[in-house]
Amino acid sequence: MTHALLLVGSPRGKKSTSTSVGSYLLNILDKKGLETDTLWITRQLADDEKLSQMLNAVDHADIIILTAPLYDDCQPYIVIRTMEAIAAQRKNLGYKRFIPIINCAFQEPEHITAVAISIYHKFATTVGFKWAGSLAIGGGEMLQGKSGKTLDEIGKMARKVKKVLERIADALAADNSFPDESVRAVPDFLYKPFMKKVLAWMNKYDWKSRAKKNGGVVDARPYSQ
Amino acid sequence: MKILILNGNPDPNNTLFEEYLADLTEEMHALDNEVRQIKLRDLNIRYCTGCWGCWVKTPGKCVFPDDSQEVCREYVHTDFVLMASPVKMGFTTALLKKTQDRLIRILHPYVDLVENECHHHRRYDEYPKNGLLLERPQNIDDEDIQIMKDMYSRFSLNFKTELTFFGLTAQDVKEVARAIDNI
Repeated sequence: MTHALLLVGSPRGKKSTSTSVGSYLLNILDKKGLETDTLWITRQLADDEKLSQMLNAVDHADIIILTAPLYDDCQPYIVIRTMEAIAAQRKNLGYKRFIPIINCAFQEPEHITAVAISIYHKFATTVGFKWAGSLAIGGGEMLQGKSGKTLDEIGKMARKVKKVLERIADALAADNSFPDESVRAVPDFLYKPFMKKVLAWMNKYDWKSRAKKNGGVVDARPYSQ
Repeated sequence: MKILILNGNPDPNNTLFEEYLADLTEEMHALDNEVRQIKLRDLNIRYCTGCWGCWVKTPGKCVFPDDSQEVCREYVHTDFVLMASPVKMGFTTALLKKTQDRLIRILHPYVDLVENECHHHRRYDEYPKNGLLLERPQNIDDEDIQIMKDMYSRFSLNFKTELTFFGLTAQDVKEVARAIDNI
């Protein structure tokens, strides 16, 4: 039986967009008869035994799906650390299919496709994984993974992302690859330059009031002196 | 010029890299620069959990007070930051990335539009120029190098500055020191 392993690379752990997106895809694969497993990288990096457990899971999987956020237009530390560990071990990795599914808070998936996907691609080639396609999700915060919600729970907002994930599941279950794709979680009308300016203004107001609630000054410059 | 070297080498036994940075520091001193090297492996730095506490709970500071505070303070008071790293698996080390991730607090959560693309707003008036120095293993090709240059150019764009220097430890150390001094 084909075995799909989901590695969740969000430093936020279970309550993250990476979890909600990955779980949605894995549930479909499960229903299609694939054997599935999920590991949260935050937990697996806790000690050597857990790291070794994660590397063994990679060894035994046929499909490796890595879901992760973008930090400074790049992989977060825990993902780079995992990639280093997989590359250092490098055994039984040939012919496994590798699929990175990356989300960023900003609306534009271009933050992801600018360089991060190339880094994942290089990693896959280096360790001998077969590149089976990638997905860049712009506006990942709109999917509310931080609050622990599933894609089904947030309704219409997840519609576009779910559609692409369903297509990816079909391809994987049929032993196929899929093209590198990108999707914007935000509704299209919010992507227009004028609406982006409106959102930026609203975003500033929101951050200020959230900091104020905690008694902080959002504009503080603690390292000025 | 005030220069900060962030040494992302995790392996103290990699003496060639350490010696290169020591020589580079000496050469840049000789050119009248004030240079400080921080060996990241000697610091206690946690990884960023994306909790946004540095934006809404303790604005501008991380809610986990570790040695990354020292790096952030130095960073905003420097003219030029040289990120120095061996290349592992076609990329700079996880150690360096862990530190870079923790710099997010020196930016605002607010959004600016740069060529219709969202980027964080500056928290401080000025940010240092960036440079990248790599120890290139034999199995790394020009494509890898270009990916890293592109990555650090994006990092610099996000941090309100630009990547003004790129070098390899295979280059003569005096030549590298002069190139940085001319920035």
